[in-house]
Amino acid sequence: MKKLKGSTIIEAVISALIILISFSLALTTLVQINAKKSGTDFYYAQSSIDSILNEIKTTKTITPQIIVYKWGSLSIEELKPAEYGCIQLTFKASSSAGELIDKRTVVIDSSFVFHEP
Amino acid sequence: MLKRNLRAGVLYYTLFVALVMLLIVGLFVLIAYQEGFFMSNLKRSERISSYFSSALALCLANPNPDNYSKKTTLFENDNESTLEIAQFKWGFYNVLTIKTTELPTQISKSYLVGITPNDTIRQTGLYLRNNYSYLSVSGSTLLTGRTYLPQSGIASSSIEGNGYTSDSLLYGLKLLSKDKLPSYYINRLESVIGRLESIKSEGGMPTKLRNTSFSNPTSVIDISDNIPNLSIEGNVIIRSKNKLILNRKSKLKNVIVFAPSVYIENGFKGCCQIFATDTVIIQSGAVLHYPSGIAILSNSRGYLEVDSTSRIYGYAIVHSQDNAKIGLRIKSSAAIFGYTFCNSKVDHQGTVFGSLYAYGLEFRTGWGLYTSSLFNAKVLGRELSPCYLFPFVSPGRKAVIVNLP
Repeated sequence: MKKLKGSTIIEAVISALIILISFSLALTTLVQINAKKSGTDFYYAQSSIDSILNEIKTTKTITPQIIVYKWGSLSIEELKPAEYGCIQLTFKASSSAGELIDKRTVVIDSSFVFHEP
Repeated sequence: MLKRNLRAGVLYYTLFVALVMLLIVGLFVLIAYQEGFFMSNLKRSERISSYFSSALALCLANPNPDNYSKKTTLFENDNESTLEIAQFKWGFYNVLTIKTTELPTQISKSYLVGITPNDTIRQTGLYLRNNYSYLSVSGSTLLTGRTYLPQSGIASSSIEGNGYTSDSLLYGLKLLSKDKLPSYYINRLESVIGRLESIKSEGGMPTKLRNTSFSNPTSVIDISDNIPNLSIEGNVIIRSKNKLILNRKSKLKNVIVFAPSVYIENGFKGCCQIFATDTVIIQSGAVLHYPSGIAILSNSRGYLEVDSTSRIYGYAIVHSQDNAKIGLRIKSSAAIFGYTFCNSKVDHQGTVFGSLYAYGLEFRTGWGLYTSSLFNAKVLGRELSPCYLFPFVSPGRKAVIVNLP
């Protein structure tokens, strides 16, 4: 067996370290980007749900439909009566790739809401 | 030799650089983990806020005005949506508390609730019981909104040479009043006074109130002597068996005060509900901010006096057994914003922004006594702020007045 020189071992170690570090960096950056994207999508979904809720309260109308945004889509998945004449709504927010971002169920006072078929 | 030394040095440098890089990578991983943690927390808080708003919508839609406390699961198959909900009477308003059951971070919120009555009640200005004599108006008297008058109606007159100055006798709908005043409020008043009399006290004035949050049990403080700088806020009942004086240095917010007689001195500014069994005097310049209120339930003659330039934002209710004498006196340039009710005679010379229900009206000058008369008085049923929510004096839809501590 050929005996390796000290310098060769050092070079191998350095190369291995560089590869390892580059790989880790790439991986963590990917994780970061993914986390950031899902965080941003969640923020968008949240504010879109809030604005739709405000719209329902202002226009006194619920129109169940899928609304497509740049970040994904939002739909009213379920609409059913709750106690004391209230309405229970379930919003579902999905990313453009179809992954679930957020699902929110809320009860709102129906005294000011007129239903649309 | 030199070459070999250099190579060993490179190893140390490499290890150092690797360590630094490792730290940087570790930092990245930590940031990613923290971001994930932050996101899960954010999602949890969004979920809880959604539970709270849903529970609030359900509680406000529930027409029951009485006390209740229950544990409820808002949404099927979602155990996390289990909340503790309690409603209790806080004077003529209600307090609603909603608590999460999830430990260890329990979140609770409290709201002061009033009602939005129907437009008929909301737009009522003067309601003078039908005593079969006409209402005479003089000076700069102004009546707006839905005005309920006795069968004989309304007429202008002159008091001490001051005739009626407006073009119309009233601005709004003229309706016929009934022989009896509406009495929806009386059960509530009796139940509140009964509770204030019977509720157990914690003794005298503590040096420091432990916790005045409305999600904790109510603190009751019995006061024997008047305390010059009474400063209390929140879920506290201040009770006295003697006359209680609130001076300009007293600071009260959202509390209930109960005594046979209460004197509010000039310069007092606060927000509280005052309950008495005899007399309440509000000296000039005192202000009771919204949502405040004064209610008197007397076995003989109850009396409320609102002195000039003083203000009550909320309600004023006087219920006496003896309704032949004056129960409510609103002096010139004094004002009440909201619901005003007196089942005895009213001497009204100020302004009521909202409704005034009166058993009778009486006005005295140096020259004589004028019954069923208004002189330079205003009852402005139309001028009540749309943001004003009524106390529980009539049926109506519940709504949040203010968030409580």
